[in-house]
Amino acid sequence: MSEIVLNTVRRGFYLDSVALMRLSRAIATRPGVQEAALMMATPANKRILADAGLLSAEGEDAAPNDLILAVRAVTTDAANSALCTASASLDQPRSGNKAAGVTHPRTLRTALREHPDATLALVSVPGPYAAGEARKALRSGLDVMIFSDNVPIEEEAALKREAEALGHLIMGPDCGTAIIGGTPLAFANRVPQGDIGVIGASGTGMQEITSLIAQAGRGISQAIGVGGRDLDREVGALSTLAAIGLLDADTATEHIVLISKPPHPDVAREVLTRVGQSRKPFTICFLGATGVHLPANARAASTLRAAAEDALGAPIGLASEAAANSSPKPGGILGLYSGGTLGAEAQLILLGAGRTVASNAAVPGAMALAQAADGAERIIDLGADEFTRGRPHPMIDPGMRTDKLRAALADARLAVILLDVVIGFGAHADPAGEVAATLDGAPANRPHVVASVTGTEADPQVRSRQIATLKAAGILVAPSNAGAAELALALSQP
Amino acid sequence: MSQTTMIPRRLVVAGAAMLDASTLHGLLVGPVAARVLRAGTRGTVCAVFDRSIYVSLDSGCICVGPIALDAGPLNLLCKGWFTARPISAPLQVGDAVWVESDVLRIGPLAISFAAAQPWHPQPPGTWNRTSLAYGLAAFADALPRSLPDEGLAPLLYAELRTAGAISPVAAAAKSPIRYLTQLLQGAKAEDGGGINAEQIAPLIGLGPGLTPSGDDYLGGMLVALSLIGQISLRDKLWQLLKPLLACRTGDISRAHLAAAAEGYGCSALHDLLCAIITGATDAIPAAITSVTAIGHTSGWDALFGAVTVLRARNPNLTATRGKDRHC
Repeated sequence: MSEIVLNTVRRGFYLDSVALMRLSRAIATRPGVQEAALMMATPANKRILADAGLLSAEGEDAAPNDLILAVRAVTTDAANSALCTASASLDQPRSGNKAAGVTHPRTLRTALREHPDATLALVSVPGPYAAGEARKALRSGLDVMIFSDNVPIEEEAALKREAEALGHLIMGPDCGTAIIGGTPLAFANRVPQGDIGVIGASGTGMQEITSLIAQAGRGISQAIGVGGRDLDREVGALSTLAAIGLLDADTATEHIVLISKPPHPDVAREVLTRVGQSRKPFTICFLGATGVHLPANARAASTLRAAAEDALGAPIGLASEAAANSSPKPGGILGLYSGGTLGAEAQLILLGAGRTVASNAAVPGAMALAQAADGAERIIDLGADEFTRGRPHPMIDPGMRTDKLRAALADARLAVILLDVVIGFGAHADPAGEVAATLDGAPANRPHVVASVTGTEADPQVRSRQIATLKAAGILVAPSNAGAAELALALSQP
Repeated sequence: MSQTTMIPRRLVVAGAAMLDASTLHGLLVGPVAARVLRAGTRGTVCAVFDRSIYVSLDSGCICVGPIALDAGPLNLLCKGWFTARPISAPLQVGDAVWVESDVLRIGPLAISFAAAQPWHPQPPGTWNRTSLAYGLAAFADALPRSLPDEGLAPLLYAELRTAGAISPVAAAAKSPIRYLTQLLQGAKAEDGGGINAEQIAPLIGLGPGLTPSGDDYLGGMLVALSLIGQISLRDKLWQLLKPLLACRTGDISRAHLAAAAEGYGCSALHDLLCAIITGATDAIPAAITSVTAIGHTSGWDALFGAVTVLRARNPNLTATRGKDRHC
């Protein structure tokens, strides 16, 4: 078989090694490609490329500040195609959005001149400027989604008061998930349009509920993110109240689901009073809250799955098939989560079963990871700041979870490793594949690995393909995150 | 939502609007960055990442990013810089950069650094061979069970690794690291005499990313030598390495190495090394987490270089590792 080695050199081009590794791996899996590498063109790296049979004359001439894209393939076409793909990926931040028809005006005024029929502004600027940009958008007659974080809470409250006065909606700050008019925004899933409205102060919580609803064959009217602090006392649920008003008035919305961590009691009272004024049925999911008094048209849901079931009016399947084929083992549970709210839901389910739980993002009743007693089940939120400093969020790059998963697979004291796999827009292209690859060569007596896939068939990663990948690797897949946590309980004997 | 105005027919992406905004404020500036930021100096943006950018000025190279980045010698950390979001900064490689008085201008963006606090790493304080021995034992005990496969970390505690192939980068680093280890343990280490630079040269520029693994390793060594007071050896090493760098590694990595030769690494690395040297064992596990979170393997690689120095200071210490810890 012939071998073609082609190099492309980008002069004065820096990329961090996470991106280089990710792109190298992606290119290496293309048809006809035997090996691929992207490396800075230092002499030491050129020696490695030469040893690997990946260096051509063009790469040999590159300087240390240059980036070499190197491919060895079975045909020239395959090598050229791989290099084109790699080059396109390197250029994506500049050219990709243009190709998708999204403009990059430098001011809101220009943007509105180009798109006078726009009704929603998505603001992603440094925190201190986000409120100012959002205010400009509000005063231009737009609803606003603020993706930015680091907005002072006083600014958030002031902005939301102004939005209330102007009759507009502010989603955020730090709003990472929304589905508006059928369009997924930021980290969100493609779900059918339907009659269930969702309001959430939690990104992955909204993703799980909207996905479970989609999997059951139903759809979403709108999924409105309000930002993680909206139900704090300082903000007073201004966006939540506005969103309830919008969905209450929306003839396409028949049922409304509200998700949040436990609100401040005064705020909860105000929100529930507003809920009680509606004629529509509500599902209230204040994860971890107790003693909440609901109006007659609202029912409480203690988990994300329960919230979806209540909105659907039907149960979501259990993980009986997976459980039936597996035997319990003595040992503990270790959850390695990329979604913070999914990890919180798992904690609540384990606590509800009487287990002692420790987490770096502990819910009420769980203990801090640092103070974990022997025998405590551990749920780790890998999206927390201590793990994401200087590297991508694990939903974007699940490689960060790989080391921890590999170590856990060799830990004889564990009965179950519990994982979430979150797909959709903004997420990694093949998170299940990353998990499955880590299980290659794991010891035969490894702990059970239990997972669920948050997402839909219409997502770019395709949920059923992700599940098939996990199952082929011997991973037990539950139909929901709550189901995965319950399966983990059934398979571990503390 | 037929009765509302919320259905977006088009979205307005206002991500670049901050370029029209007023001045950002630098809060923390490293010692090298403070030197580089002098009025009248000019240059260009030379690298743009998700959360930070590097600018190359005629007086040197600095990194500009959010306050959430680790403090470091090259860093100017700003209040309100872009957050760690996948919507990337509207700055591009090649954008013009210049310094006017106390304001760094990057294209249309202005960053006032007049009130930026200088960052300097703290010296380790009182220590001796016993405290270092305790620190190294606690460090070995606190290391994750599974070291990353990439970079040079697979060579750290190689005696505990199960058999298996190592990466080409780690393979290429083995011989120079063995040489450096023997050098540090040898009698000549104290004055730096008799060092063969060609034995070390294969490490320079070795590894795929912005700061190659081999450079990170050498940087970690230089910082550790500073912290334990082996300044003459550090300077001797640097004098030998410096002329080799120009044609063997990139500008940004070279800037980091030059800072390390002055004894400056990132604050997380300083914190961990000080904890090891003084035997502050309780602080070590969290500090390891902070260091190893830097970059893809940069934190690990710098740590490995630094630990090579510290272990050489205690050659009789046997590495121990916990056998019963959860991950």
